[in-house]
Amino acid sequence: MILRGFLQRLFGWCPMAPGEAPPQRSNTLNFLDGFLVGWRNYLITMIVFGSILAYSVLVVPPPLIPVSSTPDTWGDAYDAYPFESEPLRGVVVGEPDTVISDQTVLERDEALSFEDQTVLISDLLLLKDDSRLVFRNCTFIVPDYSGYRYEDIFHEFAGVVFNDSSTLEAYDSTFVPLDRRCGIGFMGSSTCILDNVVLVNCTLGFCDDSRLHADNSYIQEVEADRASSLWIRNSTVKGLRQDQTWRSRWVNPVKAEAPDVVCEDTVIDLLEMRVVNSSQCILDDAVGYREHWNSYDDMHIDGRVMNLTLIRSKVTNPLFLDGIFSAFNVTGTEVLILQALMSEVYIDDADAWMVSIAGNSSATIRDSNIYSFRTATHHHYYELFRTVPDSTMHQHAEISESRIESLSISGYSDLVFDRVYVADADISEAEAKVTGDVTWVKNSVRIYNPYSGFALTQVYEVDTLGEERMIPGATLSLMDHEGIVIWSGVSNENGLAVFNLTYCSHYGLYEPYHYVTNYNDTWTLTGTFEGDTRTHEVSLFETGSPIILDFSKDAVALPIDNRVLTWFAVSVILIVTVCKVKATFLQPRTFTEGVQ
Amino acid sequence: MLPSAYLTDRQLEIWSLRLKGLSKAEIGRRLGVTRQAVYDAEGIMLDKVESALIHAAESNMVEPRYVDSAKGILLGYSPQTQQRVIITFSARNGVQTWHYQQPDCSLCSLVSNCRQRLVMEAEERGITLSESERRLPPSELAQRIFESLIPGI
Repeated sequence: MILRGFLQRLFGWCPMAPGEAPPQRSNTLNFLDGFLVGWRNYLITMIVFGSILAYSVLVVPPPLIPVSSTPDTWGDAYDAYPFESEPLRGVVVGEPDTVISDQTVLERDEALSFEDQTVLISDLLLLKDDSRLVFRNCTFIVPDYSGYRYEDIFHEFAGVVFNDSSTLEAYDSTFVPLDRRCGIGFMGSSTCILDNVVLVNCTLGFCDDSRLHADNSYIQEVEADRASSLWIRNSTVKGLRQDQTWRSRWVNPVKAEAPDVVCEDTVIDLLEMRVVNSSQCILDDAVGYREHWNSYDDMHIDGRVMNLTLIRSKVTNPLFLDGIFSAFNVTGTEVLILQALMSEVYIDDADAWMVSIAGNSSATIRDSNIYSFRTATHHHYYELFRTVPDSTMHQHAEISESRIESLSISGYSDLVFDRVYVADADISEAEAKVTGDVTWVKNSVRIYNPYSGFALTQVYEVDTLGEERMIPGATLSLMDHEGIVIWSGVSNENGLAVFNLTYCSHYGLYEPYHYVTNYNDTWTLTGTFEGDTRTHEVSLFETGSPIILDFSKDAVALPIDNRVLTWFAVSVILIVTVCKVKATFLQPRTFTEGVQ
Repeated sequence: MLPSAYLTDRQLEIWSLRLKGLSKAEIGRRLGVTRQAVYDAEGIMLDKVESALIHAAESNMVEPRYVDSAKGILLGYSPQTQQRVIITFSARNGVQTWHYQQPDCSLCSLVSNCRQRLVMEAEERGITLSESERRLPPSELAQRIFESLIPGI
């Protein structure tokens, strides 16, 4: 059966007798074979398609008008962040029962205890050694900011300060400020014990090896500094900040240790963390409720940072990140504030309420929505950087396919945009350069300090458009408000031209140097092509790039792309040549060419 | 050779209906003649078809081995090619010679023409072809058709 089946496939019935060749199928190659007999047709084909090839290579038509889609981020404005803050109920404070108005120092094992009364301390209270300050069912009116005063560079104590192994114990009490805000500082190995305590507008600052033990309390703000150890349970903390204020910012902006913080059954409204010492921070949806959450494991920070552990706790707002000598990599998540000093920032597909780069920082932002983007020489409170000349601090930002609601340019900044939408912009004390594709949406220039001086150079691209293709050779000129031509040019073979315009405020621009203020002026760009003229007004933070001059008519060109023409001609030449070689040299001819 | 050279139009009509398996009475009803007239015409037709097949075999130097004039088919042997030969007669194709050999239909320009002829041969004899059979190379399709006409081929 198998053999029979095989034979049936091999043998069959045919009208042609065996040995008689069947009529061959005709195809294109057979046609070409016949077409290429002799040299005349071959040479004609080579000349025709060689000419087409030469034309397609040598005569380059202007490119088609590129079609670009609007980035998704443009239609999605990032509103000012809605801080969800639970207002404190009013705290009624009666006349103080006890007033301490003199500078007081507790030493050794001295103790100061209060119970069922209102206590006002209006001057320095310094606790040293093993001394204790105890409140039971009290209202404690705390003096103005504790620790070092901002303006005090000699490090004198002020307010309420705990040092050495001193202790603050507060039970069932309320702390209120004497003025708008107050603070209590803990240094050395001091300890703070809070149980059922409400701190209204009162900041607790911890540094060195100081410790906090809080239970059932409401704490306005905790600033954890150095190697402090904080344990907070069943409480609400409106702001938990790492290494932000009090002492270290003045004397040691690059900290070497990290506080150890444990929060259990606690709500933290705002979590601010500082990433320092050449660390790398990779964020991917790192905040929110967690059954168990650790800053090292969940934020992927490679370096010293607050060792924060959340147990059945949650962070209600996005992270506030502060970095120095570090790198941030934020993707697919939301941050509240990202403040970078001498750092690198990479943001992709993210939202941020504010991004600030300063002190030789750089930022790369893609496909993101930023409410406020700022560049500055340095953050205002880093006093140490005042000793470094501003001109050495350069900020560089590359932003693409993103939307910014508010752009603040300051210092020496270089901004490279690619399809960026800026809803509002301002500038002060800056030497800045803006390049690339940007759309400004504002009606007036806001200058915070018109006498501070600035210069902003924007590099504008001019696109001269026809109906379908770009127009090369359009004549362009830029005139100031007095009609003086300050730039002229011609659009290139791609229909593009580039010019720079420097907007100034009290800035020495030209020799002999005198202050120029022109940021409120309007320039006129004029384009002419084949007798048609188009104009476009140019002004600061109103005119985006590219500037489109639409002439709505094309220069004469073939209706087919040159690359298609080139490939077609090359293909034909190759095929015909191969067939000619085959027909002439490789295949014996069986038909006559009229030799007989 | 055109079939009308062998049979009249009326005879061809009767021939086609007979090949499809209709009875003489049915053919008579369709053509408005008596069964006897159909019987008489069939006798004449079979003689003519057999003569045509034999004549075609002789013209091609084929030795007849088996003739079925009712199905219009002759199986013979060609001493020249030393292979079997089949000669068919149909109303639409007339006399057609088929050589048993190793053809390569993929190279032949007449492949569609050949297939069309075979389909007509099958239809005229009431042989039903499936879609996959209709897509076979004509050499294989011919084998399927002739198998059903000459058992054991």
